Amino acid sequence: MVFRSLYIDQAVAESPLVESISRRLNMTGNRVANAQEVYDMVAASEDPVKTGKELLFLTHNKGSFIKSCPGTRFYRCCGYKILHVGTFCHMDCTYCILQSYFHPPVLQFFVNHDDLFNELSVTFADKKVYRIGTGEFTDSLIWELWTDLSTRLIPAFASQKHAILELKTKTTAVERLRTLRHNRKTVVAWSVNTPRIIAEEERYTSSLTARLKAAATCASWGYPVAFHFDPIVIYDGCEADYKQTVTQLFSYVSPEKIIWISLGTFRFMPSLKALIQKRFPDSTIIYGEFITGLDSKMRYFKPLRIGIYQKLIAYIHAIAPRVLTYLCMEDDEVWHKSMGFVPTDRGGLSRMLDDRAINQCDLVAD
Amino acid sequence: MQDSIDQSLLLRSVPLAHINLADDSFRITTKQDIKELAVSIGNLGLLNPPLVVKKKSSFTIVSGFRRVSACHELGWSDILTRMLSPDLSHSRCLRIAIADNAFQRPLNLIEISRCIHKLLSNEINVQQLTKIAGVLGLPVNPSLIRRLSNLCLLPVPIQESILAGTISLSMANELESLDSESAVALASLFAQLKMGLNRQREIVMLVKEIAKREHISPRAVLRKASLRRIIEDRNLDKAQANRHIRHVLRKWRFPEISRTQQLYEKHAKNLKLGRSIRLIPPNDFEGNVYTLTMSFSNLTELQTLRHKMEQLARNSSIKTILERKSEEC
Repeated sequence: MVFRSLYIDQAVAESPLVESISRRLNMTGNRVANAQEVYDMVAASEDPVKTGKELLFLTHNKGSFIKSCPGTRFYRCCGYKILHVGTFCHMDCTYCILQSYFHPPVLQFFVNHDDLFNELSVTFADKKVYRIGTGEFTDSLIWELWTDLSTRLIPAFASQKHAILELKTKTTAVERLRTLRHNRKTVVAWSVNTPRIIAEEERYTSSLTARLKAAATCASWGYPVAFHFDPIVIYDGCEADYKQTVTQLFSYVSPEKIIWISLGTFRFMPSLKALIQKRFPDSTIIYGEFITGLDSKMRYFKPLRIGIYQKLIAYIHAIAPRVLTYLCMEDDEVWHKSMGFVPTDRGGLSRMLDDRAINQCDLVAD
Repeated sequence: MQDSIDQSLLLRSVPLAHINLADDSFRITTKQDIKELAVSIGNLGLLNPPLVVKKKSSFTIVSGFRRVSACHELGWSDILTRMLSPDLSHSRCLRIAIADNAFQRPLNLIEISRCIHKLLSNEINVQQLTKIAGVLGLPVNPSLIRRLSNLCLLPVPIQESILAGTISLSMANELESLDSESAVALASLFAQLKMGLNRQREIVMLVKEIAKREHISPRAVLRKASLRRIIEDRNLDKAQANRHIRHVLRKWRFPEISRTQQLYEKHAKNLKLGRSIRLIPPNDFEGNVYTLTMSFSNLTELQTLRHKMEQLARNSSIKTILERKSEEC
């Protein structure tokens, strides 16, 4: 990945982190008095999404680093926490919600890490079980080439026993994780899909095989690993493709190394449709049978979601009956018809995942 | 004043045979009919001589295409013209042609499009055009300029539909994104069934999305036998045909949703609710809350409804509806 330009927020220009990133990128960077200058420049460009991916903006996070995942009351949320380290991504997935989530979308990295680690310390002191991930507003591992974020985060989580860090990625940038002391408090997770979806809809990402090899490598270093079948895309022949993907997954990583597997069908804010039509005119991903969900996002018609979940869960459980599988943002009807139970039967989804983290990552629940 | 028309204008009679009627470089008008104009010129003479400019051995019409044709029709051998200096640039002549048309009468959408298209083909961009558009009697809004610029390139039947008012500007812009055969087929469907803009939009969206998903052309979607039958059925009135076409397209675009809706309707019919009770399913069957509305005007009717409600709760179809087994409903 080569950036066209590097922008540096004046407020953080003297940060050693900025100096280090600039040096690694071999770019001096343009200083800006405030972030709005960069946003305005990106917004005014012909293709703001593309422009936002081609530059890097180093700035500071003025708000909280730890945020609650934006779930809605209509669908079962897993109680995840987001560690807001930066925004956007240089890979280019057609369906990426971030294209329309940020206005405009800009690849930015927050360098006020003292604030980040202070906030983490406060959270750890809470002594509650937390599952915290960096892969919601960006890909967790794209920053490995230019920053030492994981090198600091993983040991920080390793030094406490109440929270786990989940690094969610579509890359294979795991080499620097090899020597880090993780103490099983970091889960390395891959978003996985069928080779067809990866080839057609996930531009500039690693192949399925490469992701699975990287996962196997992390598992061999003792990291718990996770997989997210999200977004599941329904197309003619998708069942056979997902079955093959599941088979391939378990041929690389044995079930006992996997902390959890999540499933979520493709859903998107209505505004994303026009954006995909414009940026990816050959993509047919938006022409499925979508309805407006209770959270105002477009979702596959419920019986279709249930159908594909039932099949995927059957494929997974046929090979790994005891692996924890859960649905991302679905209601009780879908849970019941796909999984045979509803989360409240088992203390709620958040509890199910917390318990799994306690058992697999040796967390302590006070 | 530099390059002014007054200085370069000359009244001169030229042989009609020397005027190149095939050169449309400056043609703005969409009107073809010259009958009435020929009668008027025949009776009153040529009151307003056309503007021409000499190009090599012949003359090109800058303004007055219909007047020249009418004189031709009347069998005249010569015509009085206002002749522009041959030194005037093409761009200058074009602006004169546009202003001469635009300030004589309101231009229609295709004529405005022709003006804009010709100006944009003449080495100026939209931004520059916005600065001179007002002087030429054209719209100055850049977004409107962009939307109008290619209308004149649409197939002739669509241009005719725009002029007839059966296709709006926004629909014309939608049709621009389709291949010409598909666009013409849709425009002709809209004209035949006199569809309003919202219906047109719905049809275009359904057709485009089916075509995309199935990797076929929108024209191929419209060729589907079940659609052709509706379009060609002379016994259907326009509203019925409209409804049937939308139904077929929706079923094709959303097969599972349509199937579920159909099954729901079948089971709801088995409930025999009558006219005073209505069962409303959740939107797109996504939520799980069903709504029941009852209407009554006296106690007797209310008691009848209560009885019906008791029957409803025992009806096996309501159980099927609420359980929402995908095979059944």
